[in-house]
Amino acid sequence: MLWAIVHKEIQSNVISSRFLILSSLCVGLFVITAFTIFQEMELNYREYRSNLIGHREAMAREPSLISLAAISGVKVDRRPEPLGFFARGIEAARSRIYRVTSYDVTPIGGSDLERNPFVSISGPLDFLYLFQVVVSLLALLLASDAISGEKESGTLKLLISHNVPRHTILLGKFFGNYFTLLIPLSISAIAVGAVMSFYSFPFGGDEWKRMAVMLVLSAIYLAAMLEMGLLISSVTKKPSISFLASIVAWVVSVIAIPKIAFHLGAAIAPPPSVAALQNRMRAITNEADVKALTEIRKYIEERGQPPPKEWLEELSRKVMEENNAKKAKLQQEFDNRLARTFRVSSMLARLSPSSSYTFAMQEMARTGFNDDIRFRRAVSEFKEKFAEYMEMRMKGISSNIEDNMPQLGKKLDLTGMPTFSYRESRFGDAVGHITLDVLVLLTFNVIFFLAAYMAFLRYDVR
Amino acid sequence: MSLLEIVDLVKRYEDGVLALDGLNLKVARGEIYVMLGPNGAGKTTTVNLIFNFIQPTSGTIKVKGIDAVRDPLGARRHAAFVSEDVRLYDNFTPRQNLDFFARLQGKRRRPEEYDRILNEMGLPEDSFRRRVKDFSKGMRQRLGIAVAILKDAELVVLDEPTSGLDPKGAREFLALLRKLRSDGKTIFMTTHDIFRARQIADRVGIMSYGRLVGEMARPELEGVDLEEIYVKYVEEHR
Repeated sequence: MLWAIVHKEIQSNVISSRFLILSSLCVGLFVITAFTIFQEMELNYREYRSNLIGHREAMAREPSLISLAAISGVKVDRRPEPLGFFARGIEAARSRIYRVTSYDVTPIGGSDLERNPFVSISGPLDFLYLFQVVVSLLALLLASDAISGEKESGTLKLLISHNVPRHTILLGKFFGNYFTLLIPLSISAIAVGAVMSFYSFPFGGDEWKRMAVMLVLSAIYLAAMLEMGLLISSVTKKPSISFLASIVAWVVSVIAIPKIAFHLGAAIAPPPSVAALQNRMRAITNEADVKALTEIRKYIEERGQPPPKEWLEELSRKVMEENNAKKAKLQQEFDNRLARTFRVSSMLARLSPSSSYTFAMQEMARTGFNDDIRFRRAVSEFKEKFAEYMEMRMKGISSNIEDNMPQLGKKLDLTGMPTFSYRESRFGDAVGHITLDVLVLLTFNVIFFLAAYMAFLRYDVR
Repeated sequence: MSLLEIVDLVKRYEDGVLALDGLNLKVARGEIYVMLGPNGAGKTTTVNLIFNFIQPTSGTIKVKGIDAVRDPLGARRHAAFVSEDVRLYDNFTPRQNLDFFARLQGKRRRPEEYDRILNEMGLPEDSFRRRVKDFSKGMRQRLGIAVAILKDAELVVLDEPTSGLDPKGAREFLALLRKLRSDGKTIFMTTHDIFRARQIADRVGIMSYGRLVGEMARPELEGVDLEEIYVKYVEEHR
């Protein structure tokens, strides 16, 4: 019985002109997106590799340790995430290069927005966008007249007159439309795979596992949207009304809730200001300088002579430690406040399945909020190691600027200097992080289906 | 034993309209029972209740002894439905429609068997591959009967099947019903077409304002003016 309805749904969908048009649109969009995004990614990788070499060479050309430690610093390059093509996430807005000095970490650019400012108008392009916006609409529209359409065409009465339980009809409609949806998606996947074969990205076992989870997440999300369509179809009597209601539901769940939630979340738990953070960081540095100078002046006043080198080094070490501790505390406060804003916003956004889908996908693609924090933390830790190294290296070196003038033709000896290494989040951790969103998505599936069933039980089939 | 048994059936709609007011009737196995009545008499409501499309206010309906309210799926197993304006899947061919309803019953047949049934229903062979949306009302009615035959239910319930059919189409349709009866089916049909009722019925029930106000068997129908009787009954029970 179930498979008879599934078969009928697929058959009637496939021969409809609506399906042909929507499928062509779907496949076309996937192929165009694949070409665009893989091209962009290749450019990003090329830029990343050339930056790595360029930054290494520039560091070797540094005239002195002091200029390296205090002015130029070490450049940390953020590797483009290989799964970024599926979900660009927060990565699109983040700097790809950070300058790390003994005193601070400064993002110095290379984000998508800098390269192409028009990205801020439309938002980044990725497959997540296609699933979240385009395919979800396709799913919603496909299911929106599943019941009301049969009522209007008069076939629902004949169908019910057969001894078929209503849950079987609803399940048949669900699976039939779901499998129909998989047809253009499978064609798109083959086309995207073909386009992808022209490019080479660093895809390892972890990426393939993550990719598989992302496909499962997409499948669950599309099921929820399809069930939302079934629910709309079970509470409306005319396909024209179902269509309108579906468009409204889509706008609310895919556009309005996620967008409003992040603004509302920011109003409830305001995010910290980056400019304010940088001002306070600078103020801490200034305070430290003033403190050091005061100590030196005091020494001279008390003893009538300038402090010895050892005393100055000890003072410098002490001031830097305090400086770093204050800055680290400030950074921690900043991160905590940012995390709070994200928590409040994301909880509000989870009123829509679309948001949970986005969060989980970005987490899996390593382009979400957690990976961003993780990366920035790794950079901060590197900064500490770099500062320690520089302090150790500069012990015994004159603070007289003239002694540190560039020595032409002589390379800096940077033996033993720490190198930046970033251990990306593990697959198991990522799965742990997406548990809540997977549960939310599954709950939406259950709620939508049960609500559709309850409505269909009361549906006037006449 | 009656194949269809309706006892004290009452249906009052949400807007307060009393559509059925204590209907009692029995349809014996193998007979053609025609329910006659003007518009609004409660004929379609009776059909809707047999298939549990709507719930009764009170009373019972039994199809082959199965309570259609308590066990609608069980009752529907023994009854096939043909509506006034048979609606099928318009984008499907007759074969595809038959194949779907056969699958639904778990009784899928070979394509030749569908063709045979369609032939028996008098549908022209060139229509087998055409989409149903291009079919005339008469052709749809025949296809509707084919779906009912495929279901292989003992009771066939038809709601105003001849309305809108031309005289030739209606005559051929009645011939189909006689064939169904000869194949052992029991037929319950509603209509306001007295002429067709007289032609086909083994028994006629006259409805007025939700009540069965008269019943006549085939021998009683011979030689009487059914139209006069019908008008008299309806007027008396207004």
